[in-house]
Amino acid sequence: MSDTSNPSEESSQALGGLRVLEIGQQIAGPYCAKLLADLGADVLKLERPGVGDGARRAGPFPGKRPDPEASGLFLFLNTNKRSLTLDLSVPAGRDVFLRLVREADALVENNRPGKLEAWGLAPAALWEANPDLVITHISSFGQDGPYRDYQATELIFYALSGMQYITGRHDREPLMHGLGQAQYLAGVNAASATLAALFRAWPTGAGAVVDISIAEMLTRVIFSIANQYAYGGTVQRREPNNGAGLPNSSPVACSDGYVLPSHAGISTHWDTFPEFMGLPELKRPEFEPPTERILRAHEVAAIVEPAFAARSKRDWFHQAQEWRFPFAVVQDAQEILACPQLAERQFFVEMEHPSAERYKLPGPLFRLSESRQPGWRPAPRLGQHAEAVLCGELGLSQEQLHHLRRAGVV
Amino acid sequence: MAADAQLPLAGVRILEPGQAWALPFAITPLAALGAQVIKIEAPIRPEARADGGSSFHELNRNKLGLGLDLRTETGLRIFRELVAISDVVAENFPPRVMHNFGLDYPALKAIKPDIIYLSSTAYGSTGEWRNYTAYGPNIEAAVGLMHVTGYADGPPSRSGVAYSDIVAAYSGTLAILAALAYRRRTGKGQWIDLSQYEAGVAQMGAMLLGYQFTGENQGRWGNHHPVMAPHQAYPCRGNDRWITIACRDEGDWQALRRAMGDPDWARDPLYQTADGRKACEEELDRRMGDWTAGHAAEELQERLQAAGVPAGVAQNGKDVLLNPHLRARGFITHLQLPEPWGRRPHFRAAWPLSGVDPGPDRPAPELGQDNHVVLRELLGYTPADIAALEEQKVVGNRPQATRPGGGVRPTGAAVGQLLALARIIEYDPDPSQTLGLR
Repeated sequence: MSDTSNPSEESSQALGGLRVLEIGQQIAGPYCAKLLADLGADVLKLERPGVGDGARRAGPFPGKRPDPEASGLFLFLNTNKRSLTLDLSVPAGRDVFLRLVREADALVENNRPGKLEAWGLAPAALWEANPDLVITHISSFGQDGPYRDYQATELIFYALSGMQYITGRHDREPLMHGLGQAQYLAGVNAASATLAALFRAWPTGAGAVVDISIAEMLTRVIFSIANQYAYGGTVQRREPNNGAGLPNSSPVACSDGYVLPSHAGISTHWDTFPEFMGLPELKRPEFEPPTERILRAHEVAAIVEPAFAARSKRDWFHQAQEWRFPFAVVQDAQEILACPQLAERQFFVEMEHPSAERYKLPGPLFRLSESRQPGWRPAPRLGQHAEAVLCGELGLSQEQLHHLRRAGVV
Repeated sequence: MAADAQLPLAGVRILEPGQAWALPFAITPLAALGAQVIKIEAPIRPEARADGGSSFHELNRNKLGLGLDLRTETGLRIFRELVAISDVVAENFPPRVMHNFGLDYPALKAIKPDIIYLSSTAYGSTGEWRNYTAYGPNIEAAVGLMHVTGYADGPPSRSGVAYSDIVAAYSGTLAILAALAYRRRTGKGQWIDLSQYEAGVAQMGAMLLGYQFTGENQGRWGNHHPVMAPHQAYPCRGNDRWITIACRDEGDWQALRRAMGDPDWARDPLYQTADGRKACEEELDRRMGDWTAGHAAEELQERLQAAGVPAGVAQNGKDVLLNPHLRARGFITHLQLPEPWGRRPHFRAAWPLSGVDPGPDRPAPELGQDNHVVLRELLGYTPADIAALEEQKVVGNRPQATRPGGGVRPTGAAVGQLLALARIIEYDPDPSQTLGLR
């Protein structure tokens, strides 16, 4: 863990030399910028003076004691960034910001549509300072269209995207995923879209506006459901929970938790499935046609459920993989942190933050063989890099910085 | 393809010996933004197409199709010749497959020193689980998502799609773009080892820190939220229609009360704080459901959003395609396919970038559709050479097998079964007309 990355280390990372400004809060904007930072971009996070990113107040906190420098969500989403507090709603703050824009390649933001314009930071103003700036907007529903100003939380994204309608039991209410997945999907896509726009900006000097809608990035996930209607006229529902989850790829109870058999076996490898399960009684002529196995799912379940329940989920997982059945284990946070495969691949990154205990964070989305992985600097304290950025890089005097601080701009 | 020169990835050539979703979908936006993508399929194991699995066009539009048998020496030679003139190779086989073909990263780097090579695997290219396989839903289990998804009183649940394939695809797109950026600056290619498992866990940081900081494993909450209430999907008029409502704060609650006509029950002091509402959430959900049940979901969405309250219809696949916002945004695009399909709707393949117009999508290729273009124009083979290669079955455009998939157009009997099993809510024999495509 290095406190300041030296230039040679920076340039040996995938996105070394890339300068990104982030006006982000909570998940989608900060996650986008984190991915770029973890790949070596120099990300400067701009936070509201005295308040900062709302994720600082979100937790989880060590020992459940609220502390804006120890929020788990914030520590996770802001690795390898620097922080500067700046009031963008006043002219002095806007001036400082436009000076930073001159040196930047991209700006990533996830404020309400129209917020930047309200600050006098519409694309025209930003491009006046820097014509090849890539401006990446991330918002709930995009920068235009009838829902532009709709209010949303993760639940609403799940509903409108079509993901919720197909998740859960058909005889109960539709379900959302357990965590802020839509916002993470938007963050990854925003990072990709930013790079795509940069590939055009670099040779041509033409800046661009990137318009990422969180709801759309989750909607893309259900393409097969939409395609089924568009091509076949069927409107898919939530899967009925037919006993052992087979053949609907639902989790099945083992002696110590759940395994996910997937559809291999019951639908595509029926010839070897009874032998693998040790259940010759499955070899019944009425189970031979695949559609019959779906219609008789309860009968199949009555036979396979006790077998699953008799052994541990890891037993089933490893034995299935030997037979090339792609079973998986349903894991919780504790099990993931102890997973031998992740340990063998040294996936987790250990960090220490002055205000928090030591902790493990997920490592990179993917491994790059030639470009270096980041030095993994922990998330910045609120305004930690004000002096380094304003005096060290923009050349402000200590007195000017003091003045900005006293005026509450920094 | 004159417009391609204006596109961000013009000049980038990608070889895609990929299959199913996780890898091809990673390449979809790159193909739309100007990369020349050559999808390589084995005639003995071609992908399921529109009549077997309708998503083929979603995943593979704007790509060229080459049917190539890598089990032959000549097939391997052609693959290597293509590598020599390509920028990216992207594949999603278990690690042993490309290695056994002699086509792993070291081998291809020897041919093209700056090649970018993406290996997308279930659990990573190294480690004890390296040859373990997974379909989309499996990884959703392994990364902890199923453990926190489900009814509070029920077992872990999966989402209704191969969610983790999409996470892997989104991550793969970023990986390739990052590697291209690095190569642009340094001239160096590299190998990308993408574990679908790790890409999924990478999004679970808050849950993992929650366990480390508090010693508690997050469980299942259904649609509920630790602080907000109401926060649920409520039944509406009609068959399986639902409105979601999320009350973030007191302002939302007051606005919601007004939108409901300020019923007596909602004036109970107990309901005036988030803690109070959370404490009697079951009762609250019941009363909310009684109110929503008399209304159309769309009407409530409009009414509540106009009042500033987060609300949205739980849309199904048909609703999404007809959604006025997505249509106005250009998110719903169309492909012009050969008969019997004709014009069909799809989701936008890449992201809206100002000044970038990818133009209309080209349909996904038939197996080996572009054999001649690729072999002649890129590698300089003569028509006679190509005829000989076809004769030897090294290249092909006739599937020698089909993938199981089941047609997308169900027969009358199947529709009855699907409805009875509650797999589908509706069957529309003519979606083109409903979607306004004719």
